[in-house]
Amino acid sequence: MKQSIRTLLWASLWAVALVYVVSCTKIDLVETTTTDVNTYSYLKKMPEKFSEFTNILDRTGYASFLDAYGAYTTFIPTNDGVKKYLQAVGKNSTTQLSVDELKDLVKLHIIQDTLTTKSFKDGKLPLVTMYGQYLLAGVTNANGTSSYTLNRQASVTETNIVTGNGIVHVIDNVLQPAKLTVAKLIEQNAELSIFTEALKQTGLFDSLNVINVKDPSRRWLTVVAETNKTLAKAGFNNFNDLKKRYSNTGNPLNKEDSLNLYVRYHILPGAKYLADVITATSHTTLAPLEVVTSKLEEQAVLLNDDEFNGVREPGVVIDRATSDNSATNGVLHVSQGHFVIKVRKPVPIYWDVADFPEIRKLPAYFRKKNYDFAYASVKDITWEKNSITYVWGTSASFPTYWGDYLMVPLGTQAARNLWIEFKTPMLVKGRYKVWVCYRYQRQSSGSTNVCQVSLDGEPLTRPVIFTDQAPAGTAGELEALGWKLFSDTGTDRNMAGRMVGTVNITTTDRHTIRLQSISGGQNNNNLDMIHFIPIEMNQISPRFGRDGSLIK
Amino acid sequence: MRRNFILYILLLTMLLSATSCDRWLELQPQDGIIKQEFWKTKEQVQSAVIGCYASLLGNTTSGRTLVEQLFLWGELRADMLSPTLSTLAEEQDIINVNILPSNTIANWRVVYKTINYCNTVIDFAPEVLNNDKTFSEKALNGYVAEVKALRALMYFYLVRTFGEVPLKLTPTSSDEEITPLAKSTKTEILSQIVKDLSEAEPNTLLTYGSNAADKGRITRYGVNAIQADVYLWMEKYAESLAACDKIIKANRFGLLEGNNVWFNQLFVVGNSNESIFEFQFDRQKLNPFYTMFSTVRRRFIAHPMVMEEVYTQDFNDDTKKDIRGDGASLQSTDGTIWKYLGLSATVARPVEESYAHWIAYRYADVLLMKAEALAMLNRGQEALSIVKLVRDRAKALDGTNLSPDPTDTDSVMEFILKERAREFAFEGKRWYDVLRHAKRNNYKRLDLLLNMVANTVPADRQQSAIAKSKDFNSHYLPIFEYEIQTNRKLIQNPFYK
Repeated sequence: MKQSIRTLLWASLWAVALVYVVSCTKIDLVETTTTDVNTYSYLKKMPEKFSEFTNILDRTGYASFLDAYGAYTTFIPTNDGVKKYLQAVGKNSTTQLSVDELKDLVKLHIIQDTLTTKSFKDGKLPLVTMYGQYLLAGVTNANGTSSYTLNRQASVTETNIVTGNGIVHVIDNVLQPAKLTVAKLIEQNAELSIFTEALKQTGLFDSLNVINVKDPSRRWLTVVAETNKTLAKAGFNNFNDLKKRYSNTGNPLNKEDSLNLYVRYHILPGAKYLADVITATSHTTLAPLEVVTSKLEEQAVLLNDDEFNGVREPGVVIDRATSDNSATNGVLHVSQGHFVIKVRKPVPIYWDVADFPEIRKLPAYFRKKNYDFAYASVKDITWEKNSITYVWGTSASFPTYWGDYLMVPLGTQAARNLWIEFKTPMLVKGRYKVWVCYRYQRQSSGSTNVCQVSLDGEPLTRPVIFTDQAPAGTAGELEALGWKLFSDTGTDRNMAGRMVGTVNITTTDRHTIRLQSISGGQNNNNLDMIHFIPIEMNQISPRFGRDGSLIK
Repeated sequence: MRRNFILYILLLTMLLSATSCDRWLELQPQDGIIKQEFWKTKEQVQSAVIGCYASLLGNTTSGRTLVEQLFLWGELRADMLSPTLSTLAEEQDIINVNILPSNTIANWRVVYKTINYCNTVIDFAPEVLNNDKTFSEKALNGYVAEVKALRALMYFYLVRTFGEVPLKLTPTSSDEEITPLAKSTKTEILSQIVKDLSEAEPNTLLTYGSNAADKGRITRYGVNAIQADVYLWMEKYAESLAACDKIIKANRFGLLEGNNVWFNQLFVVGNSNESIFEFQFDRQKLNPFYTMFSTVRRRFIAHPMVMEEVYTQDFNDDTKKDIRGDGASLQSTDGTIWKYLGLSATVARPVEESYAHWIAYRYADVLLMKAEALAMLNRGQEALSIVKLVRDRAKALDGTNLSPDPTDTDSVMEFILKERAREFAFEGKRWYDVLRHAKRNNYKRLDLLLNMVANTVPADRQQSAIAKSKDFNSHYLPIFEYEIQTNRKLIQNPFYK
């Protein structure tokens, strides 16, 4: 018995010793999928650079969410940047700022998505900050080195640092939100005193001085102001000159008053930095149904630089250096020229659809030969698929204007285009009759093709049937039926103009006209011209010769 | 029983040891050749040298061959390409002046591969003298000179594209030799290039015995052409002029006549009398251009500006045209880049015939380089008469003749730059040309580059792009991210911080 106890004792001793020796050396199991740290931890790793900002994050309580799952873009000022800011606002330490102030500050530095410097353009960043204001991106060159800037307040010193939950950009100063409204921004600038007065007298100052949260479409407004110098050049030395010239009712508060309209014409809905202004060709204004057109020429941003009825109307230049000013409720630009709503009378547009820049660039073809335009190769004409053909010929039975026309395969069958869209020339607002002028042809004897015409998405009343000739009858009889013969002899019933409806053009701008097949289909839809003729004008004259002449 | 068993075992052991294959224990590859067995005969040296040239055609990195990379470096940042719907995001980023180090177009590896092949020849070929008594010193020097020139050309592409790169002059032939290497400055690289070229010049042959070899390998004239280009880049005009004159005075090259077979001889068949050095693609080794420019999903078309401003058109008389424009460099009708696609002005190559050569240097290039050097040496009139030669051959339109005052160096130079755009459209030279002109005399003509950028980037990025281009470091591509991560000694170009 004693023996067995001793054996047991020894055995257990050995066992303990054995266990002690081989006992589990801890196996390192990797439980994380990545060793990348999240944004806040990343900043914590470099206190010599970011301690000031991490302190702010700690105080505002934002540290935790910047270290949690998500996608953020953060702009992190360095310690020097924070010190610069404190100096500017006259404080010694961030502790002297209230938590709410700090929260606002931090929110302006965070965007809830990932943005690399690839999405930095000339204007605002594509997404709004958590604070609710856009940041204005840009690039500046100082002492031969270029760097990205934000809000013109800070340069980006390190870009695109990827952390576990987003992207960090290091900046050399604290970003500050815009504090002034557009109205205040204008008022503050002595150069804009006449314009300020005009805003006040027309009652628009107040609407530019509030942050409109009720109506989101009016949350942001963009103003293109004119300086006193600009106005002086146009002959207005003070507000009274302006009022005398424009205020036709004597009461600028009246919305019908021309001075009121003049001011409204300078206000665009939306936050539109110059980069946004030039990416669209026209912008609505607060003046009802009036648009300003915009374009970039070389480096100049031009407003209302248009070609109208073949005549170039020079526009005004926006001054880049003094524009792109952010406000709490919008953007302020400064124009170098005086511009007003152009009063135009509706004029007829006899539009030759087979004459557009792309075909003019091909001198070997333009008014010489046929040419197939590949899909998407014409800027102002879009169609569903395949190619459309520019046709030129000398056949006596095709007396089209200038001898050319567009042959557009249209039809409801899968092989053809269901639709084609044209961007019209500039149309002055007013009421027009719309005539689609074509050379009748049937691809085969049974072909039929009925197309609905719509303008800016609004269908017009009558379809155009490319497989129909004009009916017989006198010009007057035909007009009553909505037909005309548009070629020079005026007797060829194959050269048919079809009145497809009366349209009310509400904005002086370029519009979109669309032909969509609703029944049948064929390739030989020979579209020659589209006429927009004001309703009170003669609809059947002039007629058009194959040599390009107009016959009254 | 037991004894029998032992006997069987013994017998079995004997059998096995007699028949077993000792080859199992050999470590040498059976389907290749190793260094110890190579570098024995002069034929092996020759095949190694030809291998260096072959690497110009086939090497790929991130799916791109060397030539594609050279094309993108030379044209993407310039103003003659337009993106299409199929353009890759990385390519679009470069057009937008929005380049990040993660962009694989900035990967230089494919160039260093060729450099390594050259280094290998330079290092190992001399051994062969001991092994092959029929191999002469002179022949050796010829081979080494040839690959030195090729290496210089590769470094010249690198220094123009990246500015500062590591200068690796010894082969990496075993794992022990993989060592991190720091960047060298532009001056160091350029002086190495000059040194290599001047060492190569006396030893390179004037001919390799056949026309195809003379155009596909670097002859002494090839060395001179590279020298002329390098010296222009270094703003050493007298030296550049001297190098051009060596080629011109040899009377071995000339401009092809601008007739109806001009396009066919120069670009379709290749190896023409005008050519000095070409990368010779053929049916077995196609160039990368078919998928880039052909109609289906092509990634690039010509910028509208190419027809409107570079070549221009005579709207009154369409029979008058610059032979280099419509039907040669591009199709004016739809902007197709035609130089590598066409069999004639109207007929396109089928995909299996997409082997238009990549012309590194040709006689027209030498003439225009000479004109540039002359202009900078205040010999404007001589420069203009050379430009006239090139223009007359091409039947250039009067509308593009700027007729600058011969004493006004800047205008003459600008005219030459524009002529080069016409002559070498889509030959991977445009960006380097503009940059060379812009950086001359301490970036005196930076405006050339800024105007170019203003016209090519999308409108909403224009101002940013211009401001970026004012930083001279931005003219060089970043070091690719992978290189930075794996080689701690590399320091990123400060613009891409």
